[in-house]
Amino acid sequence: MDEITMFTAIRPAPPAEAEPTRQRARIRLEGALGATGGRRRGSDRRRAGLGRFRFRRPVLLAGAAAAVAACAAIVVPAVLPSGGAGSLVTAAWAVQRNADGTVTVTLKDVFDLGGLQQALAGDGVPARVITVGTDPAAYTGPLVAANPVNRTTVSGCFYPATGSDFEPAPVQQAVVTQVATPVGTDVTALYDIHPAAMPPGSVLLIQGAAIGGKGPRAAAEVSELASFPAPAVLAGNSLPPTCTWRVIAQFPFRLVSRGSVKK
Amino acid sequence: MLTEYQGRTGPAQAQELSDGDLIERSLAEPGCFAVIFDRHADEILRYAHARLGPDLAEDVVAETFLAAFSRRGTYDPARPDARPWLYGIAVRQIGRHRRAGARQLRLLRSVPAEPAGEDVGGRAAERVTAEQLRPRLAAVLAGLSRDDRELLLLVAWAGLSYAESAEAMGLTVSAVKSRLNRIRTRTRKALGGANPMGVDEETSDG
Repeated sequence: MDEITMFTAIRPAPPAEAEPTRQRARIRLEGALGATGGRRRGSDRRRAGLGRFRFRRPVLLAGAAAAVAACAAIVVPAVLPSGGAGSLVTAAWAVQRNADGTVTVTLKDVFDLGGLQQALAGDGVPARVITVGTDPAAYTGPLVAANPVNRTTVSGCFYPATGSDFEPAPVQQAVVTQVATPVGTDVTALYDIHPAAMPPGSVLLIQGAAIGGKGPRAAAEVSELASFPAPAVLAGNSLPPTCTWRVIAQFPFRLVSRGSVKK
Repeated sequence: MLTEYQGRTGPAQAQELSDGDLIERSLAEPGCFAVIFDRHADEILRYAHARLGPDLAEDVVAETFLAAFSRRGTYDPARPDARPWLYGIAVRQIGRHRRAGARQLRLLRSVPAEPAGEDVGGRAAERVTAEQLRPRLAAVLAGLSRDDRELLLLVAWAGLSYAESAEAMGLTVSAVKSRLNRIRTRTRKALGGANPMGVDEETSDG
């Protein structure tokens, strides 16, 4: 036996459960495939060596699925494989399914949310995940949370009973519980989502945005939500809300370059 | 404005294309790169798992293919097999986890090896001997320079040929042969100055 072959004999055993790992890795790739939409060579070279923060054209994951399916018939699993404790973790985000039925979402990089929408769907959370207002020229380095994110807002509907264009507070609070993150940390947001509290037909909007983004561009992205199913009439309201899209909660982010953060 | 990409290459056609052709097509049809993943992810996963253990294997696989996708514009489509290129990227990703790599090397002294296959030509007996030498082989592995260790494991664990390893490591084939011979000598010396299997082979792969 050659000395080199002797090392082959001590190769560790292969993973016992490779398929879930493989599928999670594939989903992470699919996010990137969908985000490019047919890139040119020059652009590829500029992007050589992915950094932690990637500035890519914002897309809905529906676009990703279309791109992946273009070359070969690829089936995205309806329910994603979960990690050891019901978790699905990427470098940019994590989804943790909890024993009490809630789903904890951690977001670290709002410019790299590919696959998150599918992951949430797999855990029973109908959601739309978008990134808006990205402007690569506005950033020169890693991004961190500028302030504790402790605000949850809702938009899209006008509720006659309350005279508000926000979802009633009890609904908001039932659906999303937000954990504030300390200033300067690179975990930009942490949420507990309660899927059972979401009204039928509702959709959670997770929207990544950034200071320096272009407003009109952001608005154009949000308008894509207009085709969502009509909302149900909420208990306590005598009239149905008037809305063009149905959003229970919106996750805003305020990100600045690391050098701007006062510690 | 959101854009949905419309591809042109059908699934059946994609399966018949070489890796080089698929990567070239993926410049216009990004979805084609998923076929590259489907062809090679299992192999990269096994290697990453062997090198770093289960916790980091997924990250290495995902980052390898993300990096490969990002750099696909630099791939020479004349090369039909992307495995060496992917392994080269995987090696760099693995190198980012030095602490985990060192821990895995320490574990190598005791973890069970891959189950033996058929006993062809008395290889099972040789495997037993290698198992008995496991602590010393693991020590040799840990004592190699990083580049030499990467090369050795690409050959011994990933099963790459000399030419493929050379491509993955950015070396010439003669440099690969020279380094492996150096490793052989070092291993032989660490094991007592002679091949404990009683057989010296002059491998001439690649």
